[in-house]
Amino acid sequence: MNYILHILVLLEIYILLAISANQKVGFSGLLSLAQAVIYGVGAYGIAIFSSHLEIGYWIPFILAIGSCLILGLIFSFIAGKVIELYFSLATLAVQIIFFSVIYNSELTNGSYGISGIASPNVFGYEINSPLEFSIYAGVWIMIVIIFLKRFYSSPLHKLIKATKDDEIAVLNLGKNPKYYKRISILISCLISGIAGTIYASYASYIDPSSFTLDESILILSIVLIGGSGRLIGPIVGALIYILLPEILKFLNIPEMIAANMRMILFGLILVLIVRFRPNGILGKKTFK
Amino acid sequence: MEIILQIVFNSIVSGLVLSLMVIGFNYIFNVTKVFHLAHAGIFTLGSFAFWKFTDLGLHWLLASILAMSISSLIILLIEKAIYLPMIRKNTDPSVTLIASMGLYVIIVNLIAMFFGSDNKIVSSSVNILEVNGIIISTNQIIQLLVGTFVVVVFYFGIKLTKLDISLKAIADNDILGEIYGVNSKRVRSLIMIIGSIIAVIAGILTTIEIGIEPHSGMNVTLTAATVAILVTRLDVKYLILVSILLTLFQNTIEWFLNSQWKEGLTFLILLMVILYKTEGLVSYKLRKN
Repeated sequence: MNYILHILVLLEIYILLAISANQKVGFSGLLSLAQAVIYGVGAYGIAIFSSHLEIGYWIPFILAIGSCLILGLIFSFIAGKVIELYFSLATLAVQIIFFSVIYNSELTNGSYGISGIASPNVFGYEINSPLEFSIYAGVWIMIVIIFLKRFYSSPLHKLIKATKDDEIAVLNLGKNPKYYKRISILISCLISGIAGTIYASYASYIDPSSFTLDESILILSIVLIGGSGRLIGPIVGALIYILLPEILKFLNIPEMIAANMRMILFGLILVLIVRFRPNGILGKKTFK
Repeated sequence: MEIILQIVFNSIVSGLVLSLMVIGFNYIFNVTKVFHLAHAGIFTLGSFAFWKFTDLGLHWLLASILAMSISSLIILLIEKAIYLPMIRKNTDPSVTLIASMGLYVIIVNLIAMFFGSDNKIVSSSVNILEVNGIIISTNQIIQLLVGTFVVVVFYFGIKLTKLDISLKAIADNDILGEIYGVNSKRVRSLIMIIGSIIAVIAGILTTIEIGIEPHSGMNVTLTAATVAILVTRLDVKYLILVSILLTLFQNTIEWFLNSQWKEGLTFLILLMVILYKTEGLVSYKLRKN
């Protein structure tokens, strides 16, 4: 039972991460390779602030999310300066710099990681067991989905999508495309940050190996496989990613090979999708 | 003083090996417009093939040739089945980058599945010489000689066959190039194969020194990609020079700080160049409006 709940919590975390990446990739067309950076800042933020300040859970939580948003401003600065391939490469550089910093810094305790991270405390009730965490993460997903549902029908979101489709047209309307990219990135950072705090509290131990370039690529491919630009896409992608190894287990494939096979299947689906439906991903509309 | 000379010598040797990856990566990127991160997969594939064949008792030369042939076949398949159709459809370069990453994931995990993820070592007897206080291993001498040989062959090879003009034409404007009679499909496949063969040589040179594991191709490819962004000009001399300088920079950091910072600082340079000098540090002189 606990194992199923553990899988459920992981699934919920990946759903949040994929929804966050979808905001950038699907609605703003920013193929970022630094998804794990914001996730990591959320996780390390809660770990460092809660252990150094010792003032409950929620003030460190707000500080951690605040750090993610500051990082979001850096990403939006990059998005304002370079586009397309060079944006992807710049975020790739940020990802590697981030890993290098958390691996070497005294503050993050280097490769040893940080243990004993505080658990969330909701109205005096401490959340500890996998069951409680799955409910806690589920509540966050509900909040995020309700918020996004409302947000997607707002005029602001239409302009975000318009910025992706045709930046110059948006400029012609007298609107600043950089502003809409920034909003999109900040929302994405907010959601990733929440996922990071949930992961850190749930695992109660974090180290740099959870926030590598591979993780960033993985999150991005979850979105692309599920289908970007719709709310259901990232959820489907996360389901496929989490449930695939369980299916392989049923087929009696040894665990070591199953891990490789999962990545091979994932890579294969990814390549086939970008090969045969490239425009379905960035969704550039062209007039014929 | 001796330590400085040692660092400089080591940097020249490893910079030369790096430049083999850089030349392949840079030419492939500029000519085919694919940010070919699967180059890391080719590097690993070639090295593993070399390890397996020497393990089976084959002569090293035969093993190398087989490794190169296998990698060439794979890259030709990738080019024909994935890259070329995507470019023909005018796919965004960042999407081809994702395709390339997917290919890398497939190749590396296939290798890990069949051969395991541990470090494979090719046994060779290493002798150490000491010249004026600088320690030189026989592997370094092999790397220096083979590296120089490959670079020279590549440089004069593309010059004498006039391939470099075709490459520059396609890199600059493939449609115009085709109008003037350059077969762009052929040139693309050719540079992919040549780049991969050079990458396999770099892989073998690395394998004889420190061995090979499935994921070790990525780091060197990312460094090569950094040089390819710093130097956007198709010029072998500058590519080698910048590779050696970058390696020198990394080795200096490794000596004074530690090995993990070197990646962070390398990519900080890359980030600054992307943000403030997107056309690269060494680029073609463009006529200003």
